[in-house]
Amino acid sequence: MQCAKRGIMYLMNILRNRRNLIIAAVAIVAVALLSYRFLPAIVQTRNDSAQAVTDTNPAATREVSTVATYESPDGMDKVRFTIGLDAGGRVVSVKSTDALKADSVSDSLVKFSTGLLLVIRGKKLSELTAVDRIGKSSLTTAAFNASLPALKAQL
Amino acid sequence: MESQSAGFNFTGIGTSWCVLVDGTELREDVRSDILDYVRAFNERFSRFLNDSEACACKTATAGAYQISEEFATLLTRANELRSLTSGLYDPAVGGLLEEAGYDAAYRMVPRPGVAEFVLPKWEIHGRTLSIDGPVVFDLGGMGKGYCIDRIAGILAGHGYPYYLVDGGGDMYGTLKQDGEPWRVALEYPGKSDTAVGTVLLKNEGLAVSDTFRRRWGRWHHIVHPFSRLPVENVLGVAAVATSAWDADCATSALFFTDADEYAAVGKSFNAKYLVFRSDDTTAVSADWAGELFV
Repeated sequence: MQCAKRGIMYLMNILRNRRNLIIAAVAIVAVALLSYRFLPAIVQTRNDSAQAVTDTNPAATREVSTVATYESPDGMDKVRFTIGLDAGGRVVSVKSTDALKADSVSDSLVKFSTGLLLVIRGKKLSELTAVDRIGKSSLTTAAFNASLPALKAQL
Repeated sequence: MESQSAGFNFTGIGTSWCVLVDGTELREDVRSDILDYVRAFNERFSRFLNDSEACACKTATAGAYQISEEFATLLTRANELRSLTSGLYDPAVGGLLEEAGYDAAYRMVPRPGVAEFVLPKWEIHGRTLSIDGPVVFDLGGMGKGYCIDRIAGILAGHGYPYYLVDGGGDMYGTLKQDGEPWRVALEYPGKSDTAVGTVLLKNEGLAVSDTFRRRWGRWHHIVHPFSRLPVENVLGVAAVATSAWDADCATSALFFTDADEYAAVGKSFNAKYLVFRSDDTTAVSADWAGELFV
């Protein structure tokens, strides 16, 4: 676990300092994250396995993913951990899905043993589809906005 | 993309609301009940209204006062937040916000009293509020999360099983009629055209807060009660919990939490969280579920 933890920290440092990750490094991130999350389950259940990382979409925007099988209190689970890459090999998304349920996202997933420190680049809201709402800090009130000219005059 | 026209849209407690019900229309009588509750909530708990309960002790002398059950519920939870953050979260900071210029008249000009502001002391036991002098309470997002949950309760009480209540970006969502979760994009703190990622709400609340909105001069609405300065090491916080109130409590506390205590605070409210730090890194909770655009 300590090794995996150090690996995570190292890779997160890379994420912070170098955004142009090569695909190999991304694959290692996926494996490291999976190992970190699922290692206890894998160690405890001999029949569990983590499959090799596969390149599932070799287009300009690509995804690498790995599927981990582990035993949960409710039975065997399969989780696919997917990292999206742009044409330059930069990480553009991270997600985990339930491989047994048509890759739906479950809130029981992405349960790392500790929190992560990531650099989130974001994506244009206009590029997102099928979003019901946008979670955000409250809009400023009309009265607040109306006061801004007076405020700027003081600066 | 988000549809602005769909749903029941209205304004209340200083922000824009949208109630979506899936599979049916929202009846007029239910809309009225919702509007009535939000209007009453604002009148009772807004620190901008001098006759509100939040301002009831604005000119009070030291002593013990009986307050309403609902205000006591809110202050009791606020007291828990205060303990959890070693006193850094404190709704009694309302007076400091006023001194800093964020007052009912929106003067936005800090007064000389800012430098001398002393945080009022208060205790709550049942419905008895004890104070050491004048105090103005600012419930902030914590109050809004509570209000969102009450509106959810109104909808459930009227027999609506599938809905999403969006209170200015904080929200509570059940499942949709087809059993799918509500898909919500998270806005990047300070970047209104950019998404951090998406979350899927399934009988869960979401709270988002940042220090970019409601900002004037070097001030914004989240202030440190002891240094008397705005909090600057955290740009924003997002949290998902089993209720909007819990999610808002988590965000309120996380603004004042050291990084090594994030997980403990999240656990206190059974909340998953993102903390956007001023060094451009984001702390992601161990159980965060959803997509992040890293």
